[in-house]
Amino acid sequence: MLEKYPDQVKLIFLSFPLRNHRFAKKAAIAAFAAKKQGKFWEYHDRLFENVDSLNDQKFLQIARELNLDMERFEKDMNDLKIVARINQDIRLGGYLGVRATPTVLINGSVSRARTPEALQSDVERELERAKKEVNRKGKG
Amino acid sequence: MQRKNIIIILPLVFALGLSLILLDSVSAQWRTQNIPSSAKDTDLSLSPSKGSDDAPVEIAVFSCFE
Repeated sequence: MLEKYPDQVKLIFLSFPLRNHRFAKKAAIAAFAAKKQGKFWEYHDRLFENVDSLNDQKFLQIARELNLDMERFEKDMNDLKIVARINQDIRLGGYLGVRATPTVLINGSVSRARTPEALQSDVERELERAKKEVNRKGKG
Repeated sequence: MQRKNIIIILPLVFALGLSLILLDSVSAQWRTQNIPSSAKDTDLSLSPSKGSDDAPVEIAVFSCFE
């Protein structure tokens, strides 16, 4: 979607570690610890590549492979501010009725799209709406 | 008799299903418009993001890594 609409779409990551997944929350914390060193998306991609083998050792291994400052990374893995940030996302998701992932919000509204095609159609509808809004303001 | 039951039950099931879908949709809309302050505190500008800050469309994805 970003490749197709590079200037018109912004993608935001929200954490929603599912409770029945043992390492999900720790993985989110690790990704945010990597964010502090500017490597969130690289770490994010590596987590999804290793989705079936996540554990404490794997978090450190990925950090090492991405050449993160390990001392800082391990310290940030215990950063309560990161945990609080993730908990805020969970609270927001809980309130919006998120039960599974991925759940997508388009301009703040939960999308019911279940396929990439349906998502694209939702995004195009929203782009059209934004365009009309700009035109309306231009005329007004 | 059995056919008569089906004729009565089927529209009821249909109406119930339709009501649930409508209720879910209205509830989702209401929730989006009435996010409590505790959840509203989530500052999306602090969340990891890609793409232009001026983009007219924001896609926020709740994700789980495992």
